Amino acid sequence: MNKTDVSQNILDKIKKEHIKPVPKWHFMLKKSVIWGLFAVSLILGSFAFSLILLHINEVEWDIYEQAAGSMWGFVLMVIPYFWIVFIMGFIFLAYYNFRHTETGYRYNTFYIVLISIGASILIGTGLFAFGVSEGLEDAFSENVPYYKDLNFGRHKIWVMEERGLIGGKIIKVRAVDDFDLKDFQGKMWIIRVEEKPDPTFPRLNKLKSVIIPKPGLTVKVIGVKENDNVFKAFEIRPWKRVERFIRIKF
Amino acid sequence: MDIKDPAEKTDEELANTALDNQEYFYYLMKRYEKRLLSYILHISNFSSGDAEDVLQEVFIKTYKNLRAFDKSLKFSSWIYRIAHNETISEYRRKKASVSTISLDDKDTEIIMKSLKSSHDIKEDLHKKDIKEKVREVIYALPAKYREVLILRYIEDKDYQEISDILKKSMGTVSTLVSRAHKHFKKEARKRKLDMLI
Repeated sequence: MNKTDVSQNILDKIKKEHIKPVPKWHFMLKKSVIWGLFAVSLILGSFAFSLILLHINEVEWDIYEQAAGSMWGFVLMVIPYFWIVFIMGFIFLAYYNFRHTETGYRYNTFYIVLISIGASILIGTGLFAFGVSEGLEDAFSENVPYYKDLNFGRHKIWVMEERGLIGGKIIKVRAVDDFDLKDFQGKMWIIRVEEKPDPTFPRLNKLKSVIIPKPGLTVKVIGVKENDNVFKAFEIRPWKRVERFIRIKF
Repeated sequence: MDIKDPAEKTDEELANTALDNQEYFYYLMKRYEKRLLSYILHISNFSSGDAEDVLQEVFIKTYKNLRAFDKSLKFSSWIYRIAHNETISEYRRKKASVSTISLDDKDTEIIMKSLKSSHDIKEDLHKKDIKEKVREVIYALPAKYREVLILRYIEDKDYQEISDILKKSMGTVSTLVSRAHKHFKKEARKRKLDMLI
């Protein structure tokens, strides 16, 4: 009995149908895309981490009582949830893309995630140190719809007029202790600076910032709302706590 | 000019040569024809005809992707990976349920001896009805455990090769084999196959 030669049949089919090996560049391209996506995920994760650092660094812990009534409440308020969700998403993407590389499957999930987190922290810290995160934060605030409005950014503490915390841009200066401010929600305020705060006012940090108000300056104002348009300020602070040596603008 | 006899060439050399000369691919196919057909039958419930169709697809895919062969792998691991993936794809397409069992007596004995905790193999392990029950146990296992048992004990692959075939880390493979043992014993207990526990 003649046994069909399966292999010969397949070879004949390959020849008959002119089946050819796929060119190498096709696989190189696929490999590059996957590694590229992995790198992009890591970089975006680093950006997210640098913004988390920025948000935490900019928190003014001395106003916790005024803002939230308790330290716990304040901590829950200042946690940058938006960027934490983002960094988790990018870490997952980095893990997913790495897993789809040629040899990615050989590595334990725990170590891939750990290294991705480590890389994001390292690069993110570098970006923060060089002021990249501030540029990103400004770019998001100005260009991403709802970023400021939904209080995803640092502004969320400084739109609490009922609690005596507002922030915004100085529009017009009449005197050092009397100027107009447009807050982050677009509302106009007359700011009147009082030298001595009400004794019942929560105790603020003893180190006071000296601000000379001028048009265009973004500031934080701590005080008491007198009425819908007038705000009695006990302290004016610069919007940024620390000026960076290098600042990258987007 | 390449004058080395195809039989003397390694798989990797044959794969490389096949890129320039299609005829050499025939020798590669001949080396893996029986092994892969047997593997496809073991991990699926396909008839011989369907298994041969899958085998054809496997070899065609292998030929098309020859330039993608990662030389850090063994060629056998790579081609087994293609066979595994093609079989699973075809299995899902047909949505077939396990109704026929493809392990022969010899393969069944290999698994029985490998999973038995004691090295004393009792006489009754050779009885046909016991082997039939053991085959039922193997096919009652979830696919992920059955696959690793077949690769480990019938295809005689080491953990690194299984890792490369299934694209899972070695730690995961080790865990799967260990859990496969436990599941096997659990199923054997249900079928009163105490000699295997």
